[in-house]
Amino acid sequence: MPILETKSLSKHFDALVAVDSVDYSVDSGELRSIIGPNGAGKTTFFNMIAGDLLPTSGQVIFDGADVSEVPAHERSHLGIGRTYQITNIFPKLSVLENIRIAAQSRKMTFNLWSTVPSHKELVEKSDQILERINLTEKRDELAGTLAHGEQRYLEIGIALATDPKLLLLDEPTAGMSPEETIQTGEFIKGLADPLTVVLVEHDMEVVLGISDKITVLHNGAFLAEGTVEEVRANAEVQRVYLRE
Amino acid sequence: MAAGGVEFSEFVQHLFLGLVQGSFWVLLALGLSIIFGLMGIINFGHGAFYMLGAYVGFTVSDLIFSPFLGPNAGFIVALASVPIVMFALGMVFERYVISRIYNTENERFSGVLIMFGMSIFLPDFVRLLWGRPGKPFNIPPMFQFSLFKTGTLDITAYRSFTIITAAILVALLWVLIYKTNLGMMIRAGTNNNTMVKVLGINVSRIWRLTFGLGIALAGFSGVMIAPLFAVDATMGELILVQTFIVVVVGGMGSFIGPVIGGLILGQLWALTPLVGRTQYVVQNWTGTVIGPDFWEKASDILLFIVMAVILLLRPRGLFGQEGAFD
Repeated sequence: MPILETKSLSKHFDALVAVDSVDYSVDSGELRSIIGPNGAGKTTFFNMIAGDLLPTSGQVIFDGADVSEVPAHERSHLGIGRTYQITNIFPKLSVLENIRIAAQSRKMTFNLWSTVPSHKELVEKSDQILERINLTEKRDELAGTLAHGEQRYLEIGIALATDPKLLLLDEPTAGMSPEETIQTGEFIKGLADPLTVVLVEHDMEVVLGISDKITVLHNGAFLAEGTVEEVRANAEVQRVYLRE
Repeated sequence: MAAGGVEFSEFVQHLFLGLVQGSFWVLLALGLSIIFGLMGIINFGHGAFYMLGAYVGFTVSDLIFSPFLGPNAGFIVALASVPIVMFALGMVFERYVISRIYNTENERFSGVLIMFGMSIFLPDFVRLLWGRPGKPFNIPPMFQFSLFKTGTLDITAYRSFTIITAAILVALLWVLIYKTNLGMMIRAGTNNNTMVKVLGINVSRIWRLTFGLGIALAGFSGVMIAPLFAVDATMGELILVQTFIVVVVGGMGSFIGPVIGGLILGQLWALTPLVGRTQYVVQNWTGTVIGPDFWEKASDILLFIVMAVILLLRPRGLFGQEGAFD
């Protein structure tokens, strides 16, 4: 059963058609990638799934419910977590607090006047996530002082702390060295199943090894979908994308 | 001991008075800075709420409780109840007035207009309710003594009390901002508001509490300063301007900025008049003596000069973060 579906999803900015009637479906536990040249509409498409943009027409169906008009923060509570192309963290908070505030957002009632270490289960959960993203040692440092790659991991950690069913990663390896990129690919692979992961990448090499399926967008429209080999062999894809 | 004609005791006296003035500036500047940092609202009504706090304190103390409990207990009840009343009032005001401008066009400018409107409305409202003349507000009898007195030096108990209370409040505020969940969310919202919203955190509650907190601080400062001056509808005007100067000099977006800014400017403000008492009296080019009168007035003007210099040399203030206004 698909956890995420889009039906004829479109977004127009005045005369510009950024996303043009895209049908898309992701099964639970899959690791999927969306690629396409710059301006292909990947991030716009992504923003509509996350709720940062509302569609001009078409539907977004998450976990069996139509969420097309649901605002981003409510989708977060439904189980859609995301990261951004430009790192989006709290630079002035400690690494732990960054994770902690995300974990805390899942609790509806909260004693605001209590001290930060007093909620044991939240601190434990945050520490587990720090362990997973390999930042335990930097726990008490200000997030703004981390290296670029570490900040990208922290951002994924923030998303993980919100207990998502679907994790959307927007160019997670942007600005990373080739080595970091390979490591990050492996890390993302480890996140999938039970988690469903969809990532957007500009650089196809990043996604080659790890994705179950790759979807190619071009000029806002669906161009091709399939395994790495299938997409590589596709003549259309070669024409618009790979030779670029 | 004397330096250039000024007695040491007089110097210490001015240091003391500067510390008192600086403490009030710090309390007001912190409220202003926290509200601005989180909500982007430049609170031109801060002085008006401070003034309102003094009037509420006057009512609670002189009109309600003092006749029954005596002036000491009446004053303590006022000190304790004003922040609670003003906290509630701030939250109601945020809920029914300020929240209407969120996510509208020119949100920040609307915020300025609303709060500027309050700075005009509240004094008139106070005149309507309490009458046009100001109200006398005595130092409670339990504080009517000096801790230390010699010659021109007079360390009065009440002024000392305001300094200590302000220091305790600043410490409590620091704990709140840096050690509690509310504080973590205030810092997070100040840092990256969009992200807080995306995480699905109930931002409106945080904003309401924060605004209430800032107003409570302003109101408390108002009632605490009341025994030192009379309570008057215009009492919030000058101090609002001075508080803005403190925030600009100390720097937006930091906790330490308004604290250090307030303390430094308090000293500058209090020590400047002493220059006129020294033997180094200056004559200007027409031969007129620049004497004590000049330096008394200069102390108010110096604040603006310091602000101008800071804006020229270091626009973000002593401890401010760059881009706090973006």
